[in-house]
Amino acid sequence: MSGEVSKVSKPQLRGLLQSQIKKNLILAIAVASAAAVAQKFLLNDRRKNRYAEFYKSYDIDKSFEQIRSKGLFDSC
Amino acid sequence: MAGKLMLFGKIAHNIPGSSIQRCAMSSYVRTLIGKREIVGFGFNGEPNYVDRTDFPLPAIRWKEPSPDVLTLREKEKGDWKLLSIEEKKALYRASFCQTFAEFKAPTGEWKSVIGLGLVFISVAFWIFYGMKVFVYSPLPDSFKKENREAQLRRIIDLQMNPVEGIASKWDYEKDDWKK
Repeated sequence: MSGEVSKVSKPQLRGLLQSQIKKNLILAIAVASAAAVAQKFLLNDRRKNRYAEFYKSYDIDKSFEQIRSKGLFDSC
Repeated sequence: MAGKLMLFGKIAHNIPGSSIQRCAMSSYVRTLIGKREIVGFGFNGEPNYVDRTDFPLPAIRWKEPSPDVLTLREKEKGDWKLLSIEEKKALYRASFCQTFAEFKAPTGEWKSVIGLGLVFISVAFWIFYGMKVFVYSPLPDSFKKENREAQLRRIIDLQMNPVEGIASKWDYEKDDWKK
């Protein structure tokens, strides 16, 4: 048992909190920015484009007639 | 607490122990530890013993002094290379209850946590079923199949959520769902 241990590297004993904070801060900022960029391109812009496409060909008077002819409006 | 820190400072500077003993008599807690020696601050200044990784040196020794241990302590004041492995182990066990490896060993407690959690969840399911059978009144008519179909037909006719929602999935020319 005692002949097979591997050499363990010495852990950082001084300034650990500061170095951990630095590393974690950079990591957190990177992940948050990546998430924000992904959100913008994959979700926000997609939705805006879908709304733009819809309203390009939307005829509101035609929709109004369709709904009115089925008797679903109370006022007309 | 500042007083206890000063006390510990006195121990570190080897000031004669009479003032330390006087302070040691004044707390009820100290009567609970028997003859065990106070050796430091511990994790909160009280003379207690806990095996903890974040406070590795408890305030008191684990065992009360015995003549063997006292002779070993005298030997410990000299060169440690002269101590045998058995003596070192005896000194350790006199001051500590378990080694780090022993008290950090996995207990398998997580299995009972998950198991008991699932048992209580199952009980909750049975209680819910009992409520449904004995307590809740019958569902309203709007839950029936024909009523729900009529609601869906009305939602489509009103063209609700036509951009990304349900009406966007309906083809109004063919009067059917989009393929």
